[in-house]
This record gives sequence, C-alpha cells and structure tokens, in this order.
Amino acid sequence: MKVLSSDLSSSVRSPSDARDSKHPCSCARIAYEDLQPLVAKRDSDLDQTLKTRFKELQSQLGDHKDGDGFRLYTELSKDEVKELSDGVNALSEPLSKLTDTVVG
Amino acid sequence: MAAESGVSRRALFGVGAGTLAAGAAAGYFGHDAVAEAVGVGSDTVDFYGDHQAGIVTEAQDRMCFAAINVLTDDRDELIDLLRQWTKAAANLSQGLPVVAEGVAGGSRTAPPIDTGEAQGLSAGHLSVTIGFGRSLFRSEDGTDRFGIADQLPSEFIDLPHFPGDQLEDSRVGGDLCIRACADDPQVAVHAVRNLIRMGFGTVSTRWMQLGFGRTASTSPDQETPRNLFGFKDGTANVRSDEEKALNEHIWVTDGSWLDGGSYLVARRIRMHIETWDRESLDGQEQIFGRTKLDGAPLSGGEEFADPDFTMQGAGKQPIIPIDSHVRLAHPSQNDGVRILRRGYNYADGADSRGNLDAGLFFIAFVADPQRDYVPLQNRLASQDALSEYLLHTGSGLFAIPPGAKEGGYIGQTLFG
Repeated sequence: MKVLSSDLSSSVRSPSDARDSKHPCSCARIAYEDLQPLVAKRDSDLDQTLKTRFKELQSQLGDHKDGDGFRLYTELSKDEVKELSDGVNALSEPLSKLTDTVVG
Repeated sequence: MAAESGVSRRALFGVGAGTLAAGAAAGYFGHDAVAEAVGVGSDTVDFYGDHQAGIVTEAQDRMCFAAINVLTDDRDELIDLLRQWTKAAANLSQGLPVVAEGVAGGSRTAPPIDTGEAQGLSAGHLSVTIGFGRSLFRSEDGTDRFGIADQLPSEFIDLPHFPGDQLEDSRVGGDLCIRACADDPQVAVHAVRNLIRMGFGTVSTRWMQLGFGRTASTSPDQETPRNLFGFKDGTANVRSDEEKALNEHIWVTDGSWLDGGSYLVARRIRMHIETWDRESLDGQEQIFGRTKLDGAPLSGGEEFADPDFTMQGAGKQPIIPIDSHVRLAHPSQNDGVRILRRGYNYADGADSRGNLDAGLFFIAFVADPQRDYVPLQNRLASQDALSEYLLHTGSGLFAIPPGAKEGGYIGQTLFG
C-alpha cells in the first residue's frame, strides 16, 4: 500500500498521460478490495473514506477518457491538473493510514 | 519513546529535563498537564479568546499565509475540519505538537501525525488566524454550498478592480485563509503545513505567501519597522492599547455572528525595487512625505509628530507634497478612516529578467472593507506618487470570525 500511495503521488508529479494515474489508482483499488473486510471491521470510518475517494478519483479520471486511452497531461488545463492532484491527495492521505490499520 | 508523546517542544529541549524525566516516569500525559508542568512560557500567544490571535497580538517577524479552496459540499465535514484546526492551532500556539501523539508517540506503522520540523523549537509567539472568503457563502456559480448564504454580511463585498491592478489568477481569492505569524519562519510554516495536511480531501491550497520583517507595529512598545523601500511604514497604525479606536475601526460590533471579528484585506504588492533604488534621497522623501532615516514628517518634529499638511515651503508649495504617501494615506485626509496594518515584506526570488520579485504583502484589518479600505486604496492607486513603483499582483478579502472558547471552534458563531 505504501508503494501504491507513493505511485499515486508521483504519477501526478511527473506524468505523461492520465493513464499514469489511472493505473496505480486501479491497482490500489484492487489491492484494497482484498483488505477491505478487515479494514471495515477495524476502522469503518477509514473504509468509508477510502471507498468514497476511490470512487471520486475514478470518476475524475473517467472525465479524461479519450477512446481506449486517456488524454495527455499536456492537453489538460492547469485547473484540470489541479483537480486531479486534489483527487490524488484526497485518496493518498487516508491511504497512508491503511498499513497501520491492517498490521498495526 | 512513547512517553515523549505529550511533551511540549520546550519541555524536551529547554526548561524541562526534569519535567521530562518526571513525565516519562509517569508514563503518558496530556497537553494540559504538560503545559501546566512547564508553565506557559513568555513566548506563547493565547489562541482562545474573545478575538482571534494575530490581530492585536504584538506583530511577530515572520508570516505564512495560505488561501484555501473547500472541496467538499458537506457542511458537517467542513465543521469537523474547523474543529480539528481549532484544537491543533491551540496546541501549536502553546508550543505543543498538533496532537498528543506528536512526532513519534503514535504507531510506528503509521505516518507521524505531527510532521516534526518544529520539534525542539519554542512556540515562537505563534498566532494562527482563520478566515472565511466570500465564496464560502456563495460559490462563483451562485451555489449556497453550506447553507450560510443568508448570513453573508452586507459589508462583505467583492473588492473592486483598483487602478493599476494586475492581479494574477493564481494569487486571488480563496474560500478560507490560514495565517500563521511567529518569530521563526519554521514555526509558522509548520503550523500551516500541518493544518493543510489535516484537510486533504476536504480542502486544497489555492495560493500561499511567506513574509518576513513585519512592516507594521501593533503595540506602542514596538519600533516602526521598514518596508523594502527602506522607509518606516505604518506610523499611524491603530495600536493594541487604543480600545476605542479598535472598536470603532477594527472590530465588527453589530451583534451578528461576526461580532468580535474583523475583515482581513490581503494585497500582494510587488515593488519595482530596481527603479526605486535609482531615485535620489530627496526624491524618495518627497514621495513618502517623511524623512528616510527617522520617518519624521517633512513638516518637522519626530516620527510620531502630527504632519502639518498646510505648511508651505519654497514657491508656496506644501512641504508635504500633494501626491506624497503620508498625505494621501493619513486618517486626517480620509474622513478619519484608520486601519490596522499587519503586513510583511516578501522576496520570492527573481523574475525571468533578473529583477527581484519582492515587495509588500499588505495585510490590513478593518471593520468595514467598503468604508475603511476601498476609498483609501482608490485614492492611493490613482494619486499616490508611490504607486508608480508598485504593482498589485494578488488580492484576498476574508471575514475573520471572533475568537473561540476552549471546547468551541473558530466559526461556531456562523455554523452553530
């Protein structure tokens, strides 16, 4: 999860296209699905937050679909990049607490 | 060592070797206990009170200002964040970490809750001031996201375009603001950084400004500081001991949710430093209407002598020129309007041509922006000889709610 969370952040710092965010986001979500029942039991607030924020980021990324792929970051406006960055921050911050909830 | 969790930064590194040992022996202890044990030092500013800290608080030397967007539309989520900010700001103001677990007192498998760079530093007179932008009440698209649009005070205007404004989109507005002032820039930045971090997902930073070298004094004991033009600035400031003037010009006293609060006007004013530095001493003094060394009005006397705007010099011209800064900004020339200036100098490196991007991050507290700031700024921008050397590049207006009581939160009078 640590790796996933830092992947998410770096994908926005030096991206080539929106797929770079979509990929780690999907990976993180799939990995989370395995842990979800445990997290729901130990910290239901965190589980809810993560579910919501995964959904929000997925939906944001969906806005930048272009055929089978995604628009290039260079095609996005400053505001669009900021919005994606906010979405990644919103997910990464609670995601950084996941390890502790699972193994702590 | 888990027992360090609740210990103040001061206790760890200064006063409290003994206290620390005692605390460690006792195991975990909370903030209040620690604050009591080490004694609230002389370098702390009370966060709780009738008014927010950082307004009449004796001006510290450093500032970190952040304008913030609220991402959520959920009123409860916003209130929850304001509660968290209040508690954290109160702790930080006492020189404590944001929460009891601090830097290394929490779980080892979780990120540290306090980021740690202020560990070992004193409270540094930290004040944290939180404000609400107009867009919090009604978004640009007209939405009343938090059910508070009907509480928007009629005095809370959008600042108009002023002559010569060249505002950059990336330095304008904000739904909220956090302003931390301290003796040490690391303490100020630590405070803002940690509050922002608590809010990821709920809020996002819109723009930020660091400042140094306070450009105004807010108590009679403080010497008037200098701006980057090298002149004393803000001699006629409202001071903390002028109770009547504060109630008249600075505090809102209308019985509304904002009663006991104020408005914060922020203007990022770039100075054309290089051009200014080529102006003669005489020329510079004519532009300010004061002497460079002492800040005395050109009509004579010392710094705090009342300027005589009628005194004539050679050629029957007023000794204090018609377009001088001191004349145009003086309360006697502005229907008695007074403001509480609490700004800072800034230097954000150089532009692509190698000129300094430096100037004044002007901050003023006023009771009514339309009455107290707009006419003054219109006058200065259109007539002040100084404005030739100035460029306004950033702007914000925020309502500053009254202070919170312990157990309450900043904004409670608005959100209930």
